[in-house]
Amino acid sequence: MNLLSAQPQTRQASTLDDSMVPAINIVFLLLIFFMIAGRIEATSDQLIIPTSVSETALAHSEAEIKIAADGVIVLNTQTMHSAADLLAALGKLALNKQLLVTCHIHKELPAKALDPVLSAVRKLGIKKLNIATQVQL
Amino acid sequence: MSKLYLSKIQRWLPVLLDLPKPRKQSISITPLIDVIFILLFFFMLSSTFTQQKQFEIKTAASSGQPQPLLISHKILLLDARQLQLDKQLYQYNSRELAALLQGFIERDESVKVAALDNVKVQVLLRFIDQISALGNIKLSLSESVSQ
Repeated sequence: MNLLSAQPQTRQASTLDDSMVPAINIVFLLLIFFMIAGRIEATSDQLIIPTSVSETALAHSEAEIKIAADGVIVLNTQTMHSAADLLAALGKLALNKQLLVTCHIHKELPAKALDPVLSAVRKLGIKKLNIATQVQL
Repeated sequence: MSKLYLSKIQRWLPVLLDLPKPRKQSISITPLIDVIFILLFFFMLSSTFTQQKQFEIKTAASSGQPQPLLISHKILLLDARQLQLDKQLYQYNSRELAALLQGFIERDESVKVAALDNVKVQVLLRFIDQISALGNIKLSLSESVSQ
């Protein structure tokens, strides 16, 4: 009996394998799509940037300031403990060249949170400040 | 020696007994598919598709030099609906405000924008968005004003 039943089982298994092939193909396509089109970045509820209708793509800048929901200011991965720290650190970066400053600020923060950055760029004579935004979907 | 005999038996036994030829052992692709699925879930969950843009704003430093010929107006955002333009109260979406701002653009007059310290950053940027849509306005951003 075992010998008789062996043949259909094999056929059934191979049919199952064959029917899985399109699924595997789609999974591969999805994987390739997400790998190419997606961008992996550390996202956090603590830093949701504001939305705008701006069409200008975010440019790389030498000074990236991040202000999270708790108000902590980070300049290029270095935490700033006060506005004076930020001014000093930005001053070092702005020594030899016209510094491009980009600020990523949490959208729910009050405008007051932007003051240390505005104050520092004004004191250093930096004329333009880029604020990172995201496209409103 | 025993290995040689065993391999010969394995080879000729199916022929002698008229059994189906033993299939070549193939590598199972099931673990591969598992790994692919795990990779797929990882990329699906960790990828972001939001396009980051930037908003270029002039700081007070750019208009800090005394320019006697340049007329400058002051806008103070009070909350998510109202603002003061040269100490006059306006609604964000009022036609009067839009007409005034349009006039500033035509006469090449500049506007300094500040917000009360409790106004949210999103509100501030939405307003800058709104007035930038009117035309090429000379706009600079100043520090917040405490209530």
